[in-house]
Amino acid sequence: MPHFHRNARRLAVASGVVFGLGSVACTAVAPYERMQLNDADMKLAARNTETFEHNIESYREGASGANGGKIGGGCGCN
Amino acid sequence: MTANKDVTQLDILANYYSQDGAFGAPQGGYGTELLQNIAGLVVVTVPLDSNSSLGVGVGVDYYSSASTDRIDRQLSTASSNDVRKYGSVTYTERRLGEGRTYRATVGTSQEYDVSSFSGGVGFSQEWDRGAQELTLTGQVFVDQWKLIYPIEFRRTGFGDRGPLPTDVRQSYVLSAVYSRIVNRRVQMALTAEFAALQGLLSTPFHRIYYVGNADQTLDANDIERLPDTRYKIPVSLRINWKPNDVLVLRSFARYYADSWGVRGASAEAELAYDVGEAWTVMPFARVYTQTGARYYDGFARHTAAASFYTSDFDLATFQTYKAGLGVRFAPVFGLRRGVIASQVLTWREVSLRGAFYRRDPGLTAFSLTLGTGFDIRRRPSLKNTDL
Repeated sequence: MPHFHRNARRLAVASGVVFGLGSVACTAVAPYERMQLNDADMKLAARNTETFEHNIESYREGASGANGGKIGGGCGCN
Repeated sequence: MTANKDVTQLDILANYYSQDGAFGAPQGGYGTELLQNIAGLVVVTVPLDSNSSLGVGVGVDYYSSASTDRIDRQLSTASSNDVRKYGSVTYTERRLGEGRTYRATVGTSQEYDVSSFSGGVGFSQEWDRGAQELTLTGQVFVDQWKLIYPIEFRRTGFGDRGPLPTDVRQSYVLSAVYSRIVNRRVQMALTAEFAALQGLLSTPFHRIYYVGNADQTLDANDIERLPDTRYKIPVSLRINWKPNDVLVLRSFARYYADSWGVRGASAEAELAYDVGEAWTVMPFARVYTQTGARYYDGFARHTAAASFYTSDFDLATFQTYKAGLGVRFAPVFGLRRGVIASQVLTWREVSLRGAFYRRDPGLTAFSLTLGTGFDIRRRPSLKNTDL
């Protein structure tokens, strides 16, 4: 558990640094300037055709979550 | 945030998946992992009014697995294949003036040896004229297992250790997603989750062979034993960039840590390139690396002295690589249009996605997904117009 807590703290710090740097680089974009951002491929989520691959990856790999899929429940034992 | 369009969306997905590997967990961590899976999923999103909508997803998986077929040692028994049926319903309500969205969802999943039920609520708040948004979600999963042990333990029992103490697993998941626009061509989202699992976290039909018992024709020494709690923290960053009118670069990175000692990191990228008016090609690649759980060791490597052990290679140290190509055909006005029962049905798009997957060491896989989507809107009436 001490390792787990230490890694959790590192994760929080790294996330804050990444997003802090990203936020500094941000510029105001008015709604009428968002034509490129409204492209369907710019959606900030996995494609629905990736659903099954995420499912398989959550079975075959020890890590799961933070990609829009579920992180618990079900079997995953095949 | 804008009001719901008066359009019902219907998406249909089908997938074929095949894998073969060398570390089957039901055989103690050594042997075939041959598996085929055929899956279908239908998702319907219905706007109830300008603020609220209902989403329904229903899916079914059929798989045949050579490793679970070894639970009884005899091939082509009942454990060689299974069907999983699952569904979920999500209600979404948006408060347009306040920039808020509320969600509630319930779901279920049923297969031969596991029944799962889930529920969750979510809340989103956007600000800065929609340039930033925070989403908080909480979910609970409850899994009820039918404990199926390897055949030798059903015949002779478990000796000193006894059977598994519970047949229920609870999972609690909290997630936070912060997304924002960076500039006119870049936006990103940071996701952090915390999951707590408790109860049955091992798989009852995974065998364990001790040191000195490396003969799979003999009975295993025990079944997989794992702690009854597990805490997971995955964090991910997604950045999408559209450098020009025809190209989008989608990138995703994730780091994962859990209380069993598993550490994982993945990075993936996809290019979406518009070829002409309707076609988009989408090559993609992903790499993933993992350090194993402290309870993992290979076939015939464990000892009776350990409190917990597993030979499930999913919890080992390895790397995986995935690469493939997606193709989408989505004309501006749809592939076809027709009128059915006063509804205008538009065939919106069709897409195909193939992926090759390799785990180093020991497993190769292939996945092929076909997706298509329809929009359904009420046929315009001429009765109340000025025409």
